Amino acid sequence: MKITVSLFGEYRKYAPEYEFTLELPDGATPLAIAERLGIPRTASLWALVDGRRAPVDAALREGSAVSLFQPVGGG
Amino acid sequence: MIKVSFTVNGRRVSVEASPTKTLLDLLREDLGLTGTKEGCGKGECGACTVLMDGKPVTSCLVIAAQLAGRRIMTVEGLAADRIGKALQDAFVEAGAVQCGYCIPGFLMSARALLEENPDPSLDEIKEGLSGNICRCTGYVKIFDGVALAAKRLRV
Amino acid sequence: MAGYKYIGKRIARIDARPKVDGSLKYPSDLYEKGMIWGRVLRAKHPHARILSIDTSAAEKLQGVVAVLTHKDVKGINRFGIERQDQPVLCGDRVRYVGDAVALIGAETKEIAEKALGLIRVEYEPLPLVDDPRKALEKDCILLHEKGNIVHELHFTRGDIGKGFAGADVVVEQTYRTQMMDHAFLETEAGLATVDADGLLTVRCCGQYAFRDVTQIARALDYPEDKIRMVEPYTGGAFGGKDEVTVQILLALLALKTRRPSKIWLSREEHFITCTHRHPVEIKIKTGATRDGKLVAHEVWALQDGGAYASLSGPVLCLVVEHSCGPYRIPNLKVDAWAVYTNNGMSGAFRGFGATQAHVAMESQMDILAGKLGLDPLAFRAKNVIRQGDVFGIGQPMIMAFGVDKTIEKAMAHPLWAERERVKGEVDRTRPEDRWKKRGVGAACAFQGSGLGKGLPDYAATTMELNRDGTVTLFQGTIEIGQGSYTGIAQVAAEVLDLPLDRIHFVGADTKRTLDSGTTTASRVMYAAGQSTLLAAKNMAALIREAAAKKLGVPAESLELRDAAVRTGDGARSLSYEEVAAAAGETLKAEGIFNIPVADREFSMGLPHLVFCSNTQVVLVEVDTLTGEIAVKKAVAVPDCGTVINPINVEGQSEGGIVMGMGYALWEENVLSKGQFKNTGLSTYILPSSWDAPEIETIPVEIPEESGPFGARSIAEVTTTPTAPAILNAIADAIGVRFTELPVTPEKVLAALDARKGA
Repeated sequence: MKITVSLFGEYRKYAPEYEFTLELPDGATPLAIAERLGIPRTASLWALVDGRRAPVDAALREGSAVSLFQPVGGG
Repeated sequence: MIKVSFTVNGRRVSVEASPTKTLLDLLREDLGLTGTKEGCGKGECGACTVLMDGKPVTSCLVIAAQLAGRRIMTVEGLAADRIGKALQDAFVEAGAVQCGYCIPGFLMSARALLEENPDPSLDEIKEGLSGNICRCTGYVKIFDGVALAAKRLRV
Repeated sequence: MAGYKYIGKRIARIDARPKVDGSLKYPSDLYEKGMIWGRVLRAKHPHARILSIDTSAAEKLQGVVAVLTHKDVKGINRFGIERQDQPVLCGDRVRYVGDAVALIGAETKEIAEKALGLIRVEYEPLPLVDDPRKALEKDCILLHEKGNIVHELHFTRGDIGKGFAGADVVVEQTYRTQMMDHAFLETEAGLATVDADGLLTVRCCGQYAFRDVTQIARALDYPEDKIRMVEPYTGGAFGGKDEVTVQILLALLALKTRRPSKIWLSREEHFITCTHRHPVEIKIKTGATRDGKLVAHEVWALQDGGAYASLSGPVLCLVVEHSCGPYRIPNLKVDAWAVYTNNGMSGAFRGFGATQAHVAMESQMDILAGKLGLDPLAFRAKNVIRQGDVFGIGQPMIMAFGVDKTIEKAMAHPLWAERERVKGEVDRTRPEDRWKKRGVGAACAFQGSGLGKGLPDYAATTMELNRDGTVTLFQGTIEIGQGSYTGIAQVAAEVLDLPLDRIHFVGADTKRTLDSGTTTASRVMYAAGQSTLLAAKNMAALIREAAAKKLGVPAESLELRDAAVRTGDGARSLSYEEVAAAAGETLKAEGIFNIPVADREFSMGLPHLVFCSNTQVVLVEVDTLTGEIAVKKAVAVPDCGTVINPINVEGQSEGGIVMGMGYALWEENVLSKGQFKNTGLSTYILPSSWDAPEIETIPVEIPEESGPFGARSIAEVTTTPTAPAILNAIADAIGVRFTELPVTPEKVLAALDARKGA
């Protein structure tokens, strides 16, 4: 299935582009994307699936948009 | 440890406590009345204000040894009190409450003020509340609340 | 607002009643059977190496349950929103007086306090870095491995040299703002428990429950799915509860002892450990043409971040973003640094760098107007950004933006338009007024809504229709006093036409509500309001569908009115209670909203796309005998889009103005050699009831399409213009331009004496 991936902050160094599509097997998770890109699995790894915060082991669906980021904040 | 009996919101209570335990801690820890708040523990912010024999006191500066036979009124007792209830209603309507942590103290100071002076001027309201600190509201709507309650109580 | 039943109405807050009857449980109100009290041993040294920690005597004290040090922490033992550089419990080095070195758990708070005194820590003092300029020097000791610079930003646009060459008037000035305390009334508090399955529940103060889960998991190496944060209400925050305060310590103590654990910081401990408003030194050079056009602007800023990063980087971003004001300036150069020092901690505080930047820029605008002989507000109006213009760091202002309208309205107000008359209204025959001089000053401000470019910035709301026809609304943001739970409930009430007392509000609880982002950055009413609008619309559709099935009519023919769903002709209807029964299973709806962001990214968090603005006019009275300054009247003209609840907008405005008065006139955390000198409310002077001026708030409502019913947010921009407006009014009153906050009576008298001498 095709998944759109967006990377934020520190995670941007793990791919040449900030936003790209990946072809992944069915049932793939945000964690699997992180692993494929070499992003370490830590408590700081957060995922947004279709604009909604999701567990990093949530199963993705065809066409999902996944954002990987670390919780920061700001004003 | 001493045993001390006093009334809280019209109910007689007896507690065993160290003579130096504060009224604030007695209310919150021994009697479960957490409506009275602690903001500084030094009598500087007014959040812990209660009425003792009708007069406002900062309960963090009153100790168990001073309590025998006293009448204490806290925020939990306001709903059963004519002035207290009017103040609570007016504070809700006027928007006097934001985070609300200082509000029990303000209500108790205002309760004492309105009993003594049913028709306070703005300056008298400011004076009556000058021992209480609020960080959220800028005080304006708290003054409005007191004035609104006073107006309603006069009719 | 015409046509609305709940939006724009003066509706009482949904949390007001339990707050006035004392029944609402704040984090500090939580006590549990078998509970222990936690107390923290603070470093007291601003910079030192820890040679040894001896806890043996404390452990032997009867009633002590645990004495924990860095050795008891399993995870990375570090926390920090942006970068994790702050130890939960220090092991080898302390960097400020509030650093935590040991954590006691005891049967009573008295025993805990006594045990603190029995811990022996041997320190070897290290060189003190108590001046941010010193931190930048080459040979300065490094406070952190990667150096003393937390963040730096450099930016140019246009041609600064050419810009100044074309200027007829140039003003160059250095401004200094002080460290300020949030001084919320409820100090940091909470209670943690661990159940038999290892589920850790922390009920505490905070501004982002979901990030707190991560901060605990990271620091203590405890699984995230076994952590539940419950943080719906707290007694004030203003940014000061954004960073972790007691959360990790609570978790550590409860996990180690398996006893319910309570921590509640003393007021003194709060003053020492909280993430204050950053002191910033800002040097500005601004050029304008004779006809009053800004042509060049150069900014140099140095921000003292204190011992750890927290949000110093993002705050610096806002110093930069707002240092050019809401004005069109074609030629710019900005250089800014945030550095580490041993001066306590600084971080998020209402305004978040924009406050400091506006003190400088809005003073600068008045000085320039004076030199050009222009009306200060007319000068601003000439240069102000209108929708479509490019602001400071080069971003076009494409969303709804009404700062120009706020200036227009402020100029028309009698306090500004007739200021000479107002200033003349001092009765000098009264002895107490004989020495008083009046001045009127104004300032305008803008402030971003949301986290800015470079971070996902989302909000999410869920709701359920209950059997009794009421709705439960689940929202993961926090009611820190701002009133957003009420505003959010009003949005749902409007869509569903359901009275507020039939909406049950469930606030921040990581096991019950969805992650809805931070309760910061003037974003909640806008973002969580919009996700609620979407959830309510989805719920309305579900209600229509269920009713359509039951009534055997098309769903499109049904409308929601008075807590019921009706056919267009009103002939047939079902109450929500009947809909719930007809639906069989519980109807559940969800709404997700992502704040729009700019196309280009300047730095993480920069730029913002959605902004609020505010112009304020103040009347001050300076007593030239005592040096005291009183604010007699303030007028605020905010633009926060559609006003959802006028009482709450006025409340924010009034609170923001009085907080800004404290910033301008009295408040300062005074440090000397890294030690806090004023740690109580008798020495840290907050505005009192006597100081509150008459305040008028007149919103202009420029609707923002992407927000709920056109709303944006208001929180921070209420306080941003106040201090510079006061500085401008003081200059108008006595002809003295103050450039350092706070303007205490001593400074006023010294300035008046100096002028007399000269």
